[in-house]
Amino acid sequence: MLPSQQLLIVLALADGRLPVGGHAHSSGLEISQHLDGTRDAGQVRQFLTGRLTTTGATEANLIAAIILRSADGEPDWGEIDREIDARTPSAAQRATSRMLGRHWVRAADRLGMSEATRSLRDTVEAPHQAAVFAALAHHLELDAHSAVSIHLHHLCAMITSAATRLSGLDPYVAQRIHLDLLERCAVIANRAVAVGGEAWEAIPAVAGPAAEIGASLHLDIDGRLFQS
Amino acid sequence: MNHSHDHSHHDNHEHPAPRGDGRPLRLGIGGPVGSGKTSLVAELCTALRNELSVAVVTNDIFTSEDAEALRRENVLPAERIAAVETGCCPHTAIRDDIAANLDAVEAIERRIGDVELTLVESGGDNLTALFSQGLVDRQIFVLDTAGGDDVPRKGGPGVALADLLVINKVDLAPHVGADVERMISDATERRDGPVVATSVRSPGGIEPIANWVRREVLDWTLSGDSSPGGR
Repeated sequence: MLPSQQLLIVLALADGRLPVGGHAHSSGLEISQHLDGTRDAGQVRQFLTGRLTTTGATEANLIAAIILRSADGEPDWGEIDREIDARTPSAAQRATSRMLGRHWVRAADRLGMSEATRSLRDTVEAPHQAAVFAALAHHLELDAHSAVSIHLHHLCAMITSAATRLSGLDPYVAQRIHLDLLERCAVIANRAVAVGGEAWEAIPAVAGPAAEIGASLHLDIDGRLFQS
Repeated sequence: MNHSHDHSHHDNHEHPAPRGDGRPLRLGIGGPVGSGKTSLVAELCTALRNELSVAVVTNDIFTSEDAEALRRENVLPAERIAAVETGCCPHTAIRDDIAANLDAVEAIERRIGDVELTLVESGGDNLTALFSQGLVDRQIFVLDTAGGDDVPRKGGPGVALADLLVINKVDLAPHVGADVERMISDATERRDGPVVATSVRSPGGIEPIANWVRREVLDWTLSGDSSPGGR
């Protein structure tokens, strides 16, 4: 790989324009707005921090674990699917995860990289987004740090951009929230890589009950604007 | 009023899945908010449902009230209609990131099994919105007289490139001071394809559009033309 090439790959996967359906998901912000009035900068910052340190961290741990387990060939995708399920108590979030997984599978295929997800697809009919993303990242020779960072980047971007659309939050303010949380994201990413090689039972899964319950309640929003 | 499609000027674009696999014609319905897209979809389904197997994916904000209205009007059975949320970005969902819509279209076609025509209704946006060729095979752009009779002159990708341009609500033109003839001539200057001026909710008003759709579906099924825009 040429110098700069890996960075360019990271940027391409982190780009919000990648057609993987992310723009239609608020990562729980819409229901949080309905239930708790999460609208202004302080509230959005608090919401994003909450997501990052709970479900975001859990997802980061999962992605790191998958990448590290891919080092010597295809990992046990069936086991990975069960571990993701076990760490996602909300049925609604599991459904969203598999829907996004489908979008990522399609993207990998249309971008000429269906081979990256073949073994996963042969094992799991509707794989979770984290698994598909990790498979693709591994195929592109990204390390666990890069993969986890991309994931956390998308989470921050999804929530801050959803805030601009749901309540007209100033986009500069939204970006500021994102940038202010970068150091926190780095800490989460580093921890994920540090524990990712451990046995599954030693890899933390942090619960985010409000988000998990909210995910189900989101489906009852009449005339909802986001898919989740 | 079909023009042959010169392919050479964008011969490096990807085509949707080849028609040979029996895939239905996917038809996008776009245009500004309030121009009558939903009415057009409803009237089209009513006109065609006994002739064709139709499915609808809508990006319009969909409420339980809408679902009830559909059930009451019996336009199509509920299982033939899917709603897709766009995250407040209606143009993104039909043009830049079509993943969710493509997913919904494929899922409904797979589930019903024998679909011949899939309608995708956009969420109502501005004049710059356009359906991606990766999502639909043909598209209708709907304007209305009450939206301003200078709109066709402004143009935009929808006016210029849609396979069929509909100028709707001609019955309201006198009440809003809209010059329909001018709208038709302005539109004709801006585009190659057909223009239909009508009121879709009036008796028979949908027929010119329904006839156009019937021809497109027939053409799609018979002629082997899988290129976008057989204008």
